[in-house]
Formats: sequence, C-alpha cells, structure tokens
Amino acid sequence: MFDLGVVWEYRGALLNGLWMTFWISGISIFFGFIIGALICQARRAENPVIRGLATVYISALRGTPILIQLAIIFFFLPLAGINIPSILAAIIALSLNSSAFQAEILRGGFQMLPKGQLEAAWDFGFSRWQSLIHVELPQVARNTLPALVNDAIDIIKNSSLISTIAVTELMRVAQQYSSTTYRPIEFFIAAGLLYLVLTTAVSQAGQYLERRLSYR
Amino acid sequence: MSNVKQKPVIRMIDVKKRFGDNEVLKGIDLDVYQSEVVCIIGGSGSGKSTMLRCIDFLETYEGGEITVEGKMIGYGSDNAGNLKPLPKHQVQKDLRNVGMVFQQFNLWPHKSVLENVMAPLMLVAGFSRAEAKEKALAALTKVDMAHKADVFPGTLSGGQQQRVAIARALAKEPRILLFDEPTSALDPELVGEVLKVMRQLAEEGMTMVIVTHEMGFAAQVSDKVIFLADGRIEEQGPPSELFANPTSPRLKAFLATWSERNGTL
Amino acid sequence: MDLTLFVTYGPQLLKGVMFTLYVCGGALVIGLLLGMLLCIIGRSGNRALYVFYRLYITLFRGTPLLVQIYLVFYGGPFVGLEFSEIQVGIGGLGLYTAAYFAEIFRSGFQSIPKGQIEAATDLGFSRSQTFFHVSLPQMFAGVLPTLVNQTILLVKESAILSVITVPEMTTAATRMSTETFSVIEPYLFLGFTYWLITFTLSRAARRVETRLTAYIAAR
Repeated sequence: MFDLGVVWEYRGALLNGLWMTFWISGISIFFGFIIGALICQARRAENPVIRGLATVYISALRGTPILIQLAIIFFFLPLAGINIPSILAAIIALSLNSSAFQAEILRGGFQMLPKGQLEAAWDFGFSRWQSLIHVELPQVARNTLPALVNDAIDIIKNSSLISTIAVTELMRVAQQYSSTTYRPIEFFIAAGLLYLVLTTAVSQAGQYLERRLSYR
Repeated sequence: MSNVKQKPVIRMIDVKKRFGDNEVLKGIDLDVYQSEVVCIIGGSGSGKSTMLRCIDFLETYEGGEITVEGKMIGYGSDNAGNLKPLPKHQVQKDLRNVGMVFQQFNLWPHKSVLENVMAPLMLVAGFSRAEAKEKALAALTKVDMAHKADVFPGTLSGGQQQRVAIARALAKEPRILLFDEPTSALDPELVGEVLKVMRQLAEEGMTMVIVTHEMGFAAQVSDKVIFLADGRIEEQGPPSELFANPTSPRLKAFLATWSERNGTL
Repeated sequence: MDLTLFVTYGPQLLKGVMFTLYVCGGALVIGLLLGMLLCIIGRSGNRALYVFYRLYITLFRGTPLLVQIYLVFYGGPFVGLEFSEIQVGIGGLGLYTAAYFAEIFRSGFQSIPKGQIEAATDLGFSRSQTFFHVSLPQMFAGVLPTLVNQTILLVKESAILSVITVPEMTTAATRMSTETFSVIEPYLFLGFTYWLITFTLSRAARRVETRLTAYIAAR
C-alpha cells in the first residue's frame, strides 16, 4: 500500500525544500533576536511613548496568527507600491513574529537579574552599554536559552505556513509531489519526519549549549 | 590613627533620604579621615546600609550633601548656583577612588574569577589585557585566591566569593573602601577568613567604612563606631568608650541583646 | 478603506467568528480530556506506556500542525479514512493541543510537594481519593495560567484550518477578499478580531493568576 520508493525518487526535491526551510528559519530567528533585543530595550525604556509603542508592537504580533501576519505583509506591501519576492515577505513575517516573542522572553530574563549585578557594574564605573553587553546580556541569554530554543522550534514549525505564499520550502515541495503522484501519505509523512529531525536537532543543540554555558 | 588637622576624605552633612513616605535617613553628619576605619552598627531598618549606599550614590539622597575627597557626589551647581543632578558618568568619575564590597558579593557569574577582577581594569581603566591580568593576579594573591583564578564564582564558598569580591574592588586601587555587611550572607565558619583580609587592609592604612554586625571586629579594628537608630546617629565614639560605657538607652539595649546572643565582647 | 464591505459581509464574517469559537471550544475540550488521559498514561509507571507517551508528545509537538492536518485530510481517504474538513479541523487541533496540555499537566503534578500526597495517604485516603481531592485541584490551580496561554496559542493555530476550508473566520475573510478584490478590510478585520480574542484571554489569565497568588499568599 505504501510506496516509499516514490519519496526516495524525489528525495532531491525534498532535501532542497528542507534546506530552504532550514535557512529561512535560521535567518528569521537571527533577525528575530536582533530586533527582539532592540524591542526589549524599547519596552524597558524610561520614555513612555517608546515603551507604549513597543508594547503595542509586541501585543499585535503575539496576539494574531502568523498566517494573518504573513498575508498582511504579502498583500499590503504591493498596495503601498513595494514589490518584494515572496521569500523576502516570508523572512520579514517570520522575523517580526519571532522578534515579539524573543523580546518578551528577554524582558523576563532582564527582570530576573539580581539588582546587585547592575549595582556592581555601576560601582566599577561601567557605562550603560558596557553593563548591558558585559554583564546583563550574557546572563540573560544564558538564562533564557531554553525559552529561546522553544521559540526557534516554533519558527521552524511555523515556517511551513510560508508554503501558502508559494515559497518552495519543505511543506510546499511535499504538497506539490503529493498531488502530482497521488501519494499524499508518503510525502506528508516524509515531510513530518524531516521537520521532526530539524526540531529535534535544534532542541538537542540547545541542551548541549545549555550544558556548555553552565557557570559551574 | 585619625588626624584631626587633615581634611575629611568623606564628609556627610545633614543627609536625608526617603523611600516614599518612609524617611530612612533624617539628617546624618559624618566625617571620615584618611586611613580611618569607621564601623556603622544598628538594628535592621535603622538606615545603616542606606547611609553607606548614599556615599557610593547607589541610592540618591534628597537633602544635605555628601563630599568625597572634596567633590560633592551626585550633584553640581549650575551657572546660577542651583544644585542640579550630575550625569551618571560624571558621578562614576567622581567616585573612581571609592570601592564597594556587597553583602551578596555581586560577582558576575558568567565570568571566571580572574575575568571578574580584570573586567573593570580593561573596560573602565583602559589597561591592556596583559597589564590587567598582572594587576588582577596581584589583587587575588593579596586575598589568597590566586589559585582559584580560572574557576567560576558559583563553584566557590561564600567566604571565597567575598574575598574575590574584595580583590575585584582592590584591583582598581581605591583610596576608600565601603563594606555593606560583608559577612552577613556567610556561614559562621566562613566569617573569619573575610574579616582577616579586612583587618589586613585596615593595618595597611586603607580608609574603610563598614556596615557590620560583627561587634568583636568593630571593637578591635575600628577607630570610630557609629550607632544608628531610626535614621539618626544616636551615639558615636571610639570603640573603647562606646562599647564599654554606652550612654544612650537604645545603644545599651542594642548591646545587651547582642551580648545575650553572642556572649560578652 | 471601504467600510460598506462590512455591511455586505458582516453576517458571513460573524458566522466565521462564531465558527472559530466553536472549533476552538471543541478542540479545547478534546485537548483537555485527551491531555489528561495522556498525562495519566505517562505517569502510570509502565515503561511501554511511557514510551508511547513520549512518542505522542514528540510527534505532535515536533512537527507542524499543517503537516498533521494535510496528512489526515489528503492522505486519509487513501487508507479508507474519510473525514469532513470540520472533523479534521477540530480533531487535528485537539490532538495537537493535547500533547501540549499533557506536558503542562505533568509539570503541574510534579510541582506538588511530596508531603501533600504523603499526608493524604497517611490519613487513609485511597489512591483515587488522593488523586481527585488532593492532587488534581492543586495541579489545576498551579497550571491554570499556563493552560490559558496554551489556549491562546490554540486560537491562533486555528487560523491554519482555513487551508482545508473549515468555515471559520479566516476562511470567511479570505472569501470576502477574493470576491471583492479587497485586501485591507478583510485582513485588518482578521488581525483585530484574533487580537481581541487572545487579548481577552490573556487578561483573564492575568486575573486568574493574581487571584491564585492571593490565595497562596493568604495561606
């Protein structure tokens, strides 16, 4: 009944799809972290306007489905006269979505830092930036690593949704060949297993990193 | 040891501080001279930690003035002669000869012992890596912690961590050291090793202000003891007088309670 | 922006919103019941059952919901499993969420102090009495905020069901978009409505949390 030979026949296309899923997710997680770190600082700013804008940004992106965010970016930008390839729209949507989640994770990490850590930095004459870079961020990144890894896994899974705007990542490839070969079970199981490999690898890497970065 | 003809290196005049409705310092006056060791004692909530933290501007103060080596801390006068808060980096610069040792050590857990001591030397004082390492190792040797230079602070005992914290403060070669209950977070058997280091610093002539519960240490090492109650200095004097002949009823009660728990001085 | 579109499509959109709530409610019930069952299976102490539990959790949490839904919806008929899109939608979302709920319940049970169970056994409670009168209420109190957060994720994931044309709000708005060639109105409507639902839930979670911590503090 099952014909795994069909999947094997199209292994090249599936692996290409996996590769695209991998790098689009990776780039989005990276930009998500950079933007998220900035949004987190804005969310903690003393200026109420900046803080308010950051709150709205986080609430909007965390409170709506990524599928809708994707559609809005994909459909709205052309209306504003900006035409971008769908891969770029996908990366923008995933990055922005991830940034809101990472911003909140990082904010939690900053709140958990003992006050004395900053007092020591102040006492030794560190500037705000030095304190942020050398004292706060390394500890926050280490303490929030498990949560950040979970967000990375969410982004990998959510990247399957960019198939809806015709980016030929893993899910899209599986859809295409399942309909041309009439073998949906085989192709969707194959796609599922490849996602599983990717998410498991990321979670294992996270645990390894966590052990490596232990302070003991 | 104190020399009255000198100018005080720390001077507090009528310093006031409040947290919301709660006035924790109700006008503190204090002079600390070069090479003096001043111990601040008092019950919990008396304001003794706040008083010390005001000197290092970890707490802002709203009334009076604090000067360190002749410079007013935290505020400066503008052209019209009004007091204005100074920018943070200016305050940090004015306090560069002051070091602080915290109750909770506040070592940075993600840096090794050596890196903890080196970081301020490289980032703030601008020493090269090699120079910073040399100075850091010298400071660690002084507190007998050089053999643990490469481990993370989390692997050390509380007493060892506090000695590293002292080394970190010493490395920037301060002229004044502030200690905020340096032994209060330690198991009793680890208190001695930290006090030993502090005693050695006192003998070498470091100017020190120490908030402490260790009356024995205060009696032996300090030149002056300040007893704080309800945000005011209730009594002060050389330890020989203050501990032997307390005059205020509150100090008498405080010392009586202390002796009940810890034996006579 | 053409607000008259909302007059024409208002009833359809409202129907979609109601259907989203219906789908989410159904998936929530399945998720809670199945999640609890899975959690009990995982904690039973039987090795084979525990392996099954880990396998379920890993498969459902390690792969995208989209893959799971496509597999059943398009693959099912090839092995004689014909489900309607609504059945696949509610069932798929429920099975997916159950994996998350099971893990939340598990951590909730783990965080109950051992002494609580020991005290109950000591007082002569049977195993089921201990479970229903001591463990279960405490576990729920502890994990309620996390459960609400997971429910928020469920509401957002439900938008995915539009790809198999479950007639929920995303499907309704997408239809409005293709029929009228409008983009701004339907998608802003979707964004705002999802945000409103999830915002309401998160507010509720915060209230529950303060009430629970008040109860804990009062102890």
